[in-house]
Amino acid sequence: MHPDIRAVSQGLVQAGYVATDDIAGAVHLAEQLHRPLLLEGPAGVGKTALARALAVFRQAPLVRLQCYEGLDASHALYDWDYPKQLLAARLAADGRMDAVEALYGPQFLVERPLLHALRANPAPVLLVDEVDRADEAFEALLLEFLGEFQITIPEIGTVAAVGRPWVVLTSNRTRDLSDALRRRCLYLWLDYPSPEREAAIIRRSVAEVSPALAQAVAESLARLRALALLKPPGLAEAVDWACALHALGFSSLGPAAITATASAVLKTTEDRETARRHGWLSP
Amino acid sequence: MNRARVAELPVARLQSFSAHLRARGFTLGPSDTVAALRALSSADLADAREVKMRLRIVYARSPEEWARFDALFDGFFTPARPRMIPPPPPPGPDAPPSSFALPGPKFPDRPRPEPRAGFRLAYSPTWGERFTVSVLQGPELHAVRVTARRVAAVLPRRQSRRWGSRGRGELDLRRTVRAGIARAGDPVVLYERAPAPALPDAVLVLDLSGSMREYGSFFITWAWALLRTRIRLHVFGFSTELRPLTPLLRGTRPGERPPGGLDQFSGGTRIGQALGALNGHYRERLFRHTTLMVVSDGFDAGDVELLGQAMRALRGRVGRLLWINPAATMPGYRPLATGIQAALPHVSDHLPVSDLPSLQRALATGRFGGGPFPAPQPVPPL
Repeated sequence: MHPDIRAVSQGLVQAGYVATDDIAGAVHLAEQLHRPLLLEGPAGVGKTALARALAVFRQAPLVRLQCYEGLDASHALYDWDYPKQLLAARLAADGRMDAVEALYGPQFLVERPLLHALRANPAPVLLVDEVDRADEAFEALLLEFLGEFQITIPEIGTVAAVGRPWVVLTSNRTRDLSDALRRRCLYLWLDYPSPEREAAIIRRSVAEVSPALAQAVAESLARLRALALLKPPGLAEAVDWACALHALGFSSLGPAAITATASAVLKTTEDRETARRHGWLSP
Repeated sequence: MNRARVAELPVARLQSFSAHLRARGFTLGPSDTVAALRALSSADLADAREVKMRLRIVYARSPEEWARFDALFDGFFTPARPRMIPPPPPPGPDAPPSSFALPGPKFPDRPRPEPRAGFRLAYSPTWGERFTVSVLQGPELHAVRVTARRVAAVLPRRQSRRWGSRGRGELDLRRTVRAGIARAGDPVVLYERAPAPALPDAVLVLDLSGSMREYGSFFITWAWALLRTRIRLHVFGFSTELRPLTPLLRGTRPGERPPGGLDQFSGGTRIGQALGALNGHYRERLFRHTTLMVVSDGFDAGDVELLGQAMRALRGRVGRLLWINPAATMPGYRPLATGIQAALPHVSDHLPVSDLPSLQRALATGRFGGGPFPAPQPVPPL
């Protein structure tokens, strides 16, 4: 593998993120081509964690925009400070303000995460989390930012990035993202980690767990994820489970250990039933 | 970018690779070839794994493309080895992709028995007639599009959490301040705003097995037209295995066969497995406000008990579950097929639709509507 990609991989490991070649390659290319990185995959495979690790690795502040339905320009890009504007307008009536345009000057502008990411110095890592939860109209708002790293505010003009932020978008695929958004991003599909990588992640998060137990936990979870559960366990559950096993003093993964700690992994009654039916959990 | 390095890159080869992908359903433009060149400018071109990884990150845009990319890359760049059996004919521009694997755990397919000359030893649900479908064109297409727009207009929708610019709800400070300028800064006229209506959410699942042969093109055209209306729609097709069709249909023009994927449906029917896969792999697309429409004649050669389970689970997940049954338009039809008997207890409505007139009848009798979904509260201002 290319030395730059290896360097990214090592940097991410030092930031606490065990990266595959694909992941390190995508981060490297996003930096090289100055393109946002769109991450898709099941819940709990480390999409958000990658953005956090990137911020630690590049020693940049992390700006996070959590998307939700109804998110619009006044919550994501910028807003005007209306009480201040009203006050200023009243004062202007007494002849103390030179022009109406002054009502829409930078002093009345309220920064929201996207504008903040553009104007911040040093350039931050911008995490646009779960972009699929916002609606299609919001995607259109993002296009200028993602394509040109700028925001146009009609009353002021175009605000370009001071330093280009690293932009990471994540999606859980609750709906298809538009082609226009995808075209502006590099794409990385993140799946559940291999047992070896998952064991490495567990050992990194819970140092007290023995390598053999971490490996057994990872392999057991891989079997569990193949069972078509309602809520397949993600990496956070893997770490929780290892913590629970350690806290209860189990050093190996027998039926008793699984029964005592299954609540860290199986989060619905139906999933418990499925796991029992397939012999993962003893009856 | 280092110009000397670019000179060494096989630019023409990369251009034809872009064209190769485009012919297989990837939506790529010249800027993507440029991005691919830049991505390779610092790469070790002798390392095929690294080149493949870099190009995948640039070219793939969806999980389906991500999963198909490796096979397409290998097929293009790896020269064919000598074979014991003659290779299949080279794929044409509208040929199916060499693989259409879904990411994540795939639904296990039963092994397909070797066909024996002359007779069959036993029946298998994966056996059956293959057929191709294409989007209609001309006046027929126009009529379907008009009806699709009317269906989209009556599908139940809920209020969104997004604020619109009109209506009565709460004070719209932005407009009020703006209008106040004309009155020396006094907000004399108070403007209000109300929540905007949301796009209706719908999922359309098409049975493309052999028994649906004569209805296939009509329903594909309908799906194509619905994708071009103002609703949020996901289209899936199945015979024995469920596949997402939305990206394929988006790229299809009138009169064309959808590129790749659709020809791969074999004749058998496993409705239960397909709907189980919908509830498993695509669960996150089904909401309390979703209208799920299943188009099938209910002739199921798979596990009927599985179909009942899948239907019960889906009914609990979506707002409305419509079963659209082309066979039910035949005179004297009675729902005796095992599949439809297992499914009917769980549907909100059972619609006899097989062509445009029957679709218009169902629309005219208000069968696609249904009361509005409960409204969420709009997001309060910060």
